[in-house]
Amino acid sequence: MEITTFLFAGFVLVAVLGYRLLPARFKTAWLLLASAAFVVTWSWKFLIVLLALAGLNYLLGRAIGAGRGGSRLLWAGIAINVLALLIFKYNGFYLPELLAFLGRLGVQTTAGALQLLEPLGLSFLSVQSIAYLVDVFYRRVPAEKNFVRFGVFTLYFPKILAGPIERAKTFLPRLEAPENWSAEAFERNLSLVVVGLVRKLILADSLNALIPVDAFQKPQLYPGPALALWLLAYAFALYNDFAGYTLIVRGVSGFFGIELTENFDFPYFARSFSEFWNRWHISLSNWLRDYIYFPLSRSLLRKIPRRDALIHLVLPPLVTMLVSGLWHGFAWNTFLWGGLQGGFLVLERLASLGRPRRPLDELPRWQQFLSGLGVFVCVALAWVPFHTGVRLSVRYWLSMVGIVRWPTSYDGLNLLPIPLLLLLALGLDLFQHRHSLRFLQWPRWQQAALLALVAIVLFLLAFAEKGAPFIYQSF
Amino acid sequence: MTSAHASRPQPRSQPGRFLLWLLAFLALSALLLEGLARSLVRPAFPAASLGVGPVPTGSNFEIKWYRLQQYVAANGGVDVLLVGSSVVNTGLDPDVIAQTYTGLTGQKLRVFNFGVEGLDIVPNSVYARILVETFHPRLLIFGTIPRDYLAADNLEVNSAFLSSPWIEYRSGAPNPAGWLIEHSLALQAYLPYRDWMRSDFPTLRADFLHRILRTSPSGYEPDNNVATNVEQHPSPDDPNETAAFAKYADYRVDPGRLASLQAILDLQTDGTHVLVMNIPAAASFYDYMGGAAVYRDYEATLSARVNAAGGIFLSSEDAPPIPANGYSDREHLNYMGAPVLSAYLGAHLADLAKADGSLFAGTGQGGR
Repeated sequence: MEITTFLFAGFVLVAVLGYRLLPARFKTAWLLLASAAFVVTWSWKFLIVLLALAGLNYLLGRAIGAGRGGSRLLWAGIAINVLALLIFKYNGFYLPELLAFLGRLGVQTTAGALQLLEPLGLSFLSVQSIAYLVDVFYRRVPAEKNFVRFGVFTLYFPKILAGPIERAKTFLPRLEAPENWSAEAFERNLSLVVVGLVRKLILADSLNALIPVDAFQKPQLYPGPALALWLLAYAFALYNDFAGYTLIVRGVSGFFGIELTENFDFPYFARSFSEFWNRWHISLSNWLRDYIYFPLSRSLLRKIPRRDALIHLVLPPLVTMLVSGLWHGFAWNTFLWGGLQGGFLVLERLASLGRPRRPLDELPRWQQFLSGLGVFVCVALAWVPFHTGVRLSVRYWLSMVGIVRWPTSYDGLNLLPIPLLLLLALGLDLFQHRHSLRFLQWPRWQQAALLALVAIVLFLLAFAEKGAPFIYQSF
Repeated sequence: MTSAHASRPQPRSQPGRFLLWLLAFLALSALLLEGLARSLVRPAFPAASLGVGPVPTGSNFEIKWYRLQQYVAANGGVDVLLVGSSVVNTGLDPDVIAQTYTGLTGQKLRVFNFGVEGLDIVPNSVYARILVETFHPRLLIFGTIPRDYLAADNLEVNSAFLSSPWIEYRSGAPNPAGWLIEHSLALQAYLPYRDWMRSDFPTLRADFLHRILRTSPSGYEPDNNVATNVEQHPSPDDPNETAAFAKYADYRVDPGRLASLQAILDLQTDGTHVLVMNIPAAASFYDYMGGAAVYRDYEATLSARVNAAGGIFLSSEDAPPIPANGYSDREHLNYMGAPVLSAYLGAHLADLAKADGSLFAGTGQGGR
């Protein structure tokens, strides 16, 4: 069940009504039931795998919490979650080699026979579970004793598709004491859903559709300026797609009185790479910081206590971003993307060596603008390997600057709508950056006029060719 | 009392009033857009749309639909409707048919070509019913070719066309989107731009506008291409011909497709006659099917079915020879071939009218 459909709206309505009407002691069980039903709409097999994984993590958490097994049990838990990813999600990376190897051994089989299902949101669930086990081990959070509550923590349907990645320490108490129903909360949650739909259906889907299907596969066929414009379109499509998804699920979860973590904070307004990663996919960035970057830095410091050693500047950010790349896909292109992002962070740190650290807000406006522009250009260029293979990425970059070929036959008229949509996307970001959801303070008639306008645009867009599912759903 | 009233907090949330405002704005916007469409926008725009897919087949259908409405408005009705795929669209010129007929009978005949590129017998049978029910022609001529009866051919296009909300609505499957499209001119004026975010939309739109200009008021769209190889026999070893040979290998008429032919023949009610015309192909085309004998078997199957249903069958064998430069490829006639076949059809209609005086009685002056 896609979350931008009327079917999902009906599902949420039933789930919210049931949740609000049921006595408190049944509410959590109701949420687990609703979440299981949501997963089943995709595949009942997904539910079995996800429940099995949740059950394993629950038992491991109980054992670790009881102090049994020491760190070996923690490592076993981490290994199980990583293994689940390798088996179910990243098998495309090793399956061809495995088939070839089996062939050499005389075992004849087909890719289809070895192909396994790829359960919904598995990579989000895995990192969330790893964080839970680590937190239990270090006594940051007690092991959850109630499987129903743990099941909701794992399978909660608003966040199962693509996060946000929640921590037990913040999520479970919210589950215990959901926000009471109020008209103000309802308005706020509805606004989040509407803004999310605008970002996804009006901006992201439209920008995505404006990029020719083969632009990233055969970039040499197109002129450089068109490729540059499509890269811009892709950058904003990706952002609005994921930010739109997050807003929708935060709004939906808000109807249950359960707040989900914010995932985006206007990342393209970032003035440094580290600021970008504090604003982009925040729940994953925080996870990477807490469970990869900090432990690695601490471990290095124990071995090399000199804080200004080059290795402290280079290794933690690089490894962290390479892990991020691999999490997005076990492939060379996402590895390259992670490497580039790590490289940007390292260069930024090296460039600031020996200089007094000045807060970004205190820099002159023009310097903030130029820094932001530089960060955006680098981030946008790095989206190429995020989207396509390594060789094709190189070809895309070269074609963009006209080194490979400069075809002249392309009809430039087709590019016209892109700048208009980019302006609209930028305008929405600027408005929200300055005013957040201030339209909730507007007079009723103005709010109604705005919602009517959005409803009409969404209605008209419904007649267009069907848009793609959320991009991050595939991670 | 006054101070107590003043100190009472004003309830900030008034969902009822908000809902009223929202409904008022939606209704006002709908009225405004509809008014604009009916008064200003519609007459100024070259063509509206019914949201029929897929591109470009759907837009070809829509050009014909709006052209037919204009044709009927200008001529008071239509006597003969030609339906079929691209072979009809480019292969039969209604003006030549009408002129030939008038020349032989002295009677006026109103003929319109509703052949649509990319639509085979399955969607043809569905939209033929819509046309007959809407425009009540005296004669429905279905132009057909062997490709219409390949079971697995054109499935995606057919499915996209038949699942369009307006087609479903007009075929008797009520749905809100279809109803809205049927009744809202504002929506019809917007729909040509519904895919504005397609990366190739401006190019497609330009092609569409050009196509409108190419299509005559009676629905004929001439094809200016001239094939150079129709007299040569295709070779199965030629990579350019492999697909065609594979498509027609072990050719047989699919019973499912024959059911669509029957649906067209079933339209012979309430004074509408049905004529099925096998559109001639170049002789070298028979090679794809395995020779002229297979082609003759195919024609015999069609002929038997049409005659059994009380329809009129016109064999391609009776058609006059088309010159080699009259084809745009082995299946399609071009602007030089179409007049030859159209004149033949006009003469045949005149013969039919002479044999059956009631066929076009009272036509040409305002319809039935």
